[in-house]
Amino acid sequence: MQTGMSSKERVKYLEKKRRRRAWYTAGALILLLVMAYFVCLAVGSVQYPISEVWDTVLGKGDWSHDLIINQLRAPRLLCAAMAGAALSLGGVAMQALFKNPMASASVLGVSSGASFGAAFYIAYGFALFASSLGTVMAAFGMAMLTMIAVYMLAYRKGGGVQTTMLLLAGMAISALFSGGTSMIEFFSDADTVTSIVFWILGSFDGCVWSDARIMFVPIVIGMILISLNAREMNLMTTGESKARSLGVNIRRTRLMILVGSSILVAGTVSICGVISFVGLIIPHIFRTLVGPDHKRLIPICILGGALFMMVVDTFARTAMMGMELPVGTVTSIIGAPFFLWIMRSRKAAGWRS
Amino acid sequence: MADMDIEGIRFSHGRKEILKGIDFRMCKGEVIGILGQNGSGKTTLLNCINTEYRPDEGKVSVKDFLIDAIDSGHDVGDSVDIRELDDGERSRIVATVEQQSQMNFPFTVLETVRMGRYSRTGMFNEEDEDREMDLLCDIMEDVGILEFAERNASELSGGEWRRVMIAQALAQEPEILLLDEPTLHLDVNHQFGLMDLCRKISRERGILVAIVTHDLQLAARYCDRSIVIVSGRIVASGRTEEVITKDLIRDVFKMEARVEYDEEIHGMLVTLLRRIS
Repeated sequence: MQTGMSSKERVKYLEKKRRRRAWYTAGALILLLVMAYFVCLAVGSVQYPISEVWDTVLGKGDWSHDLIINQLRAPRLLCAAMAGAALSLGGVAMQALFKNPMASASVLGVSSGASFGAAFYIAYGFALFASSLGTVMAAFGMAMLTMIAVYMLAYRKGGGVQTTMLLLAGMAISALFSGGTSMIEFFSDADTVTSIVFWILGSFDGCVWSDARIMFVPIVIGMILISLNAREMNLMTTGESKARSLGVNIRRTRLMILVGSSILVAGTVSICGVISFVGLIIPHIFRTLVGPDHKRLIPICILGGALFMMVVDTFARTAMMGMELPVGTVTSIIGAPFFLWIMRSRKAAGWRS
Repeated sequence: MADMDIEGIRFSHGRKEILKGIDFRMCKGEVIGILGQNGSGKTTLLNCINTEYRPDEGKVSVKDFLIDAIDSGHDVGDSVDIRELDDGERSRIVATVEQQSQMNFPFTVLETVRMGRYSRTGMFNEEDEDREMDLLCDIMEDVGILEFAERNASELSGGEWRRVMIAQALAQEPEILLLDEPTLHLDVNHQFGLMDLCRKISRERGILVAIVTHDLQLAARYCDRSIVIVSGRIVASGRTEEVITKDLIRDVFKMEARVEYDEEIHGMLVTLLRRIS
């Protein structure tokens, strides 16, 4: 920084620097995302050189490469990317809604609620109408209900949301729905149990193009709903009455964020089960990097979440020869210590009470 | 700039009636003090005025606001019920600084102050960025927070945070500014600085400033007009030097005091002597 600047010039200079930094971060993430895409397609039980992957993606490879890369790995990788983007954006949205950087789909029990809805539909709804759309809808309905329930339990008019209350309510609700899901499993036949257990672990194993297509629509809708409220979300973090007095239409914003993040969680959960802590880790990292302004945080978390999930899923797929780890367990193992660390370092999280 | 009429406000919380019919009028360019003891209903009144609470009876209306503050349907000079305004319109006319607020996210001071520009700027910041920054910097300079504009707002002291909230309210460019105990947590120097600023903006820009406070000394020095509330009713209102008297302080605040006009400061001085038990 040059010397001899007035305070005003300094403020303007730092603000410009901050903005540039957000652009650089976004640029770097896009670059990494493209690179990771090709690398992740290349590695696995059969390894390919990147040039081969490039040809195959462009449709110039032979049929066996095409099968493995374009039909098996690509849809799975895209599902992972979409799930990562959706979960981290969902986390950002819930953190703004609850005015608390510790909120996320798994912490609040919204993931458990959504998976209960989906499990219920698989066990009892398929008899009526077997469709993945039905699963998404059931998951969405329960995600929404759970979120409203946690919101009503944790929110005190005037006082905002207390972290302890929020975490306890989330824990209780999570336990309730896990119990419910176990109950459904208990009364189901072996096949149904297998398909239900598959989700609870959280995995992208077996994701095909049709899954990617099913995920795409709710996730895009959710992203649009939330992105439209980026400015409002900044104001929401100071409390609802303050945001209202600054001119935010609270009811509309709250509803859009609630619906948007429920759609995101449901879209992910109904395809790949519960994947914990992504919605907590990614927003936290990028908030310390580019600041909490949602106009920058939202696009950057979408990119960062997608990158993170692609890398973690590829790791889960390749870490152990001949078998694969459920990605949900991997994120939990990374995420839980991270969560505890954020809770300890209040200062870094910029978090009170 | 706007005038505000408060007519017959009644408000109950549960079975307890907190406001028992409040009537008064506030005019542009004046600093008005709303005085009373703890629990007299001052803050509740403020919340009824800024539509945070819905009064059981009565209404609050604004008139003579700048026509560009609201989008359509009203003419200059119209008297409009404040509840008919939408959130954006209302926030361009009325700004409130609450007694308590907090920040959980690591926004900088500048970003926090800029939140006040929400209803005056578009989604994609089509406005001239340089002009916006100048405006924000000027406000921050006035309030004395420009030096730490880039600091994390969630790590400020109580007094610093208070000034940030005041800057945010000024960034709304309101016509009516409502302050709830604005000098709380401030050291004496900043208390006087803030009150000087309130008087200055009300004189220069014709803004109506209403201050809820129990600080008789500051009110006596800075408010043009005062109203005194005792358990939900106005017991005195008028020019401050006529309202804040020895007798009133004795009856309402149960304190013995000396009230005098001081030549040097051209204002009233209140000296509190002792409690009356």
